[in-house]
Amino acid sequence: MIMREGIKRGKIINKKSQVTLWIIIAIVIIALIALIFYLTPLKTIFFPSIPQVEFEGCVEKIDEALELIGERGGSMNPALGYAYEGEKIEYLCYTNQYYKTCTMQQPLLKQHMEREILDYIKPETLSCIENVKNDLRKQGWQVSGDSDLNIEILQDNIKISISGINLRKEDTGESYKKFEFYYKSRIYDLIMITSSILNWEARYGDSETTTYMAYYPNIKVEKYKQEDGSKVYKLTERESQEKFVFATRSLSWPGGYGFGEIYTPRSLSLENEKK
Amino acid sequence: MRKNKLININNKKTRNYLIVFLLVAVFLLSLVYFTSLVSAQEVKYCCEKTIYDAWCQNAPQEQCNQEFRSTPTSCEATSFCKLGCCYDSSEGICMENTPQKVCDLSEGTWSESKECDIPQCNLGCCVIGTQAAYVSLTRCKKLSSFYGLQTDFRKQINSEVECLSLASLADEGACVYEVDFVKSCKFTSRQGCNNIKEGMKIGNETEITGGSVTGNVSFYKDYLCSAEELGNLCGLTKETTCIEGKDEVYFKDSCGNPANIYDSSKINDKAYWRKKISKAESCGFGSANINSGGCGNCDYFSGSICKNYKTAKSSKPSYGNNICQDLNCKKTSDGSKRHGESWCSTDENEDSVGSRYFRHICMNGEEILEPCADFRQEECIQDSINGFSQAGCRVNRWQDCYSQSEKIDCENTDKRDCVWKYDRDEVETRKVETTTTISGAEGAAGTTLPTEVSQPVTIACFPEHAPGLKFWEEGEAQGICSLANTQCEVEFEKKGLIFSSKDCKSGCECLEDSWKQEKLVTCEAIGDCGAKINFVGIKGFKEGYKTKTEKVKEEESGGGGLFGISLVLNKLGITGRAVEKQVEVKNIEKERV
Repeated sequence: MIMREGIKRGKIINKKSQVTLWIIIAIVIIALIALIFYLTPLKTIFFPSIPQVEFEGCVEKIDEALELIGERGGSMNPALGYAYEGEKIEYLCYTNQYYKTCTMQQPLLKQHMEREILDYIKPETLSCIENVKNDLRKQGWQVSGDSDLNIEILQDNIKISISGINLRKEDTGESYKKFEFYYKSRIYDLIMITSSILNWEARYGDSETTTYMAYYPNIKVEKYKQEDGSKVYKLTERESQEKFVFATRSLSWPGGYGFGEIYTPRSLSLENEKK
Repeated sequence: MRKNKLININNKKTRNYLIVFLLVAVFLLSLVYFTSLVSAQEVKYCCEKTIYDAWCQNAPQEQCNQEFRSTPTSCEATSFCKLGCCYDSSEGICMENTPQKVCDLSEGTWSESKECDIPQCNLGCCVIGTQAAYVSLTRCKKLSSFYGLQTDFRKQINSEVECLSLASLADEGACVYEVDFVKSCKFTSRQGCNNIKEGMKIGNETEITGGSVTGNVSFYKDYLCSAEELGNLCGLTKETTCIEGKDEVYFKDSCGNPANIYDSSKINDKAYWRKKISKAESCGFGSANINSGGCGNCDYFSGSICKNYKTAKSSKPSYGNNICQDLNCKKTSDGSKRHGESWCSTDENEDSVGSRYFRHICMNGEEILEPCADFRQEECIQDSINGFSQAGCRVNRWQDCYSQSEKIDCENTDKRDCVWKYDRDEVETRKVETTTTISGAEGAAGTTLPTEVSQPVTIACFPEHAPGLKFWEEGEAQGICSLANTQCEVEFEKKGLIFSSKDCKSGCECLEDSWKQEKLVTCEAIGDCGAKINFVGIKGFKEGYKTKTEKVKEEESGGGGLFGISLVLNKLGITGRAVEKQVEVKNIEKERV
């Protein structure tokens, strides 16, 4: 009886040491995998890069660009702007006079925004593309051509194209000349509604926000009239919470009669006062 | 009673004083206006670009950017800043009031029509599947391309309402096709089905189910894909879906196609899954069916729209995950409101310094606050139809109230927003020499002509909502407030020599405090004048008005007899002043808020 218990105990001891051994082996394997990830050349051997995925990582700055441009009325650094809640918001239709409708300042807003976004993301994105190209060369890809970037705002997304690249892998026969990425965004709808509001501002001096909200249930349109006659419009896409904020100054009324008054943007009058 | 308190204009001397005083006030006011008007006209240039980067503005020369053109005329009269229509040929959008230079820089196509009355911008009805838009032809082509559909532009339709009604008449039904010899179906428009036939893309989707169309493609108008007789893969499910651009909750078949409006009682009713049933014939028509577990006939204008029940913070419906979300506003600043309602409000102290009017909107369950123009240059008007209130900001037409001399003109609501505050229907007028500037063609410099206008001798017509004034700036506010200046002559009779006493003979009502109070109310009714409080209820640091009593003339003197009588004429005056210092209080309060 005592012997049998001893044998049993011996078996338990053996089992325990086996488990320990397996744990040690597992730790070693995990450490090796971690080492592979640290040592890039090895990583590329085991996990070869997929060019599409690598280049996609380079265009992530679009997210930041869209947020900034949306808060500033379609320009990264608005020249003619209204200071509102810590941001300078571009005037898209503007008059410095009272009792007059505004003059369009940015008629082709979509194209203007495409250029602005491109200028903003281009330096960093092209530099990232060059790094990816170098990595691909190390993995045996034949890389040639000067890459170029293009942005197009479409109805439900933003198309980012990387062109001018010639990628070719001899052993697999894979080759790429252009990469296209689609970034989901509803900014196109917001731009089109903005264009309509601007036409109303230019023709009648004001716009009716509830009409837009009745036609487009997914869009929220807010209008804030300012002391100097400027208006700040805030357009929000309810699902994605994407925003587009812009300013206008049209058919403004001064305090009193305001005869002969010519309005000077606040920033400029402050500068003059300082002088 | 009120008559006694007013200045007795039948008294010749009083009347003469009053007329002279008002004429001086009107003259000073006109002087302020016209000086500023003339000085502004003198310096106006058309700047192609200003130093603050605005294109094509009429501004003083020092505000013109020297690197760009500028001429001493209105921009409308120049070639480089002439306003026209900027046409975006890629998007099919027309932008009005655009200077040629700005359009050229943006690479648009400019034409002379300011309001875009050009063929490229003519609107028509663009039918896109089962939807429609009232747009230009180029825009229609662009929109159709987004959905992979052929352009269907109907230029003979010339109203938006007609266009939208056309969309509901578009053919819709089951498009049955074979993909890799398996019969499938898509619920789409006839046009969409034709596209499948041609192997074209549908919307943003890739090729049909990834395979190629191998058999006949047939369109069955008004049939649902789940109809048994069509003999395809698509069958009944207990799932529902929301469709972009539509309000209702729809049943979804096993292929992912929408079927009829969700009705829990029809979940297994094969007849309900066979043919398209109109909204009017579906469950709960005429009601919003808010949070209904069994009916998905939502209606945006009645206050509901299809949403996932979790997003709508509602309980799970009997089948599927979508429900008619409640879009009404349960709690607003003015109690509960229905979706789409709007109403007015103003600051607690109406027409006080710094106050303005606001429009509130209940939309999608949210209260949106929309301020009307500052300085009370806009007022909020409101009305309701069957208890559904609608409000809007409207221009406050106070500008010519003071010059009205007849009640009927003053209260003409078609022209102005004024109230008559005089005991008679007319007020005496005087002819006043003034000048009128007639503007030239296309903004060219105008001509100033001497004219004669009738001015009331006293202000009897007041703005219904007193406008805000820039009282902290020199000039205009002081001029407007000075219209409230008034004076009253009180005649005393002095009796006795040694123990003399003064008896009031005429104009005695001016000595009472109520006279002063009435004049102050008049002063405040003109605008931000007098002893007004600001929008947070705080009074200005100064009184806001001045009262002055002076002895005008001793007409007769008793000369010393015991019963000698002397008449003394005293002049009592109130000078309305623009509210001072209150702006500081307002700013402090704003910061505090």
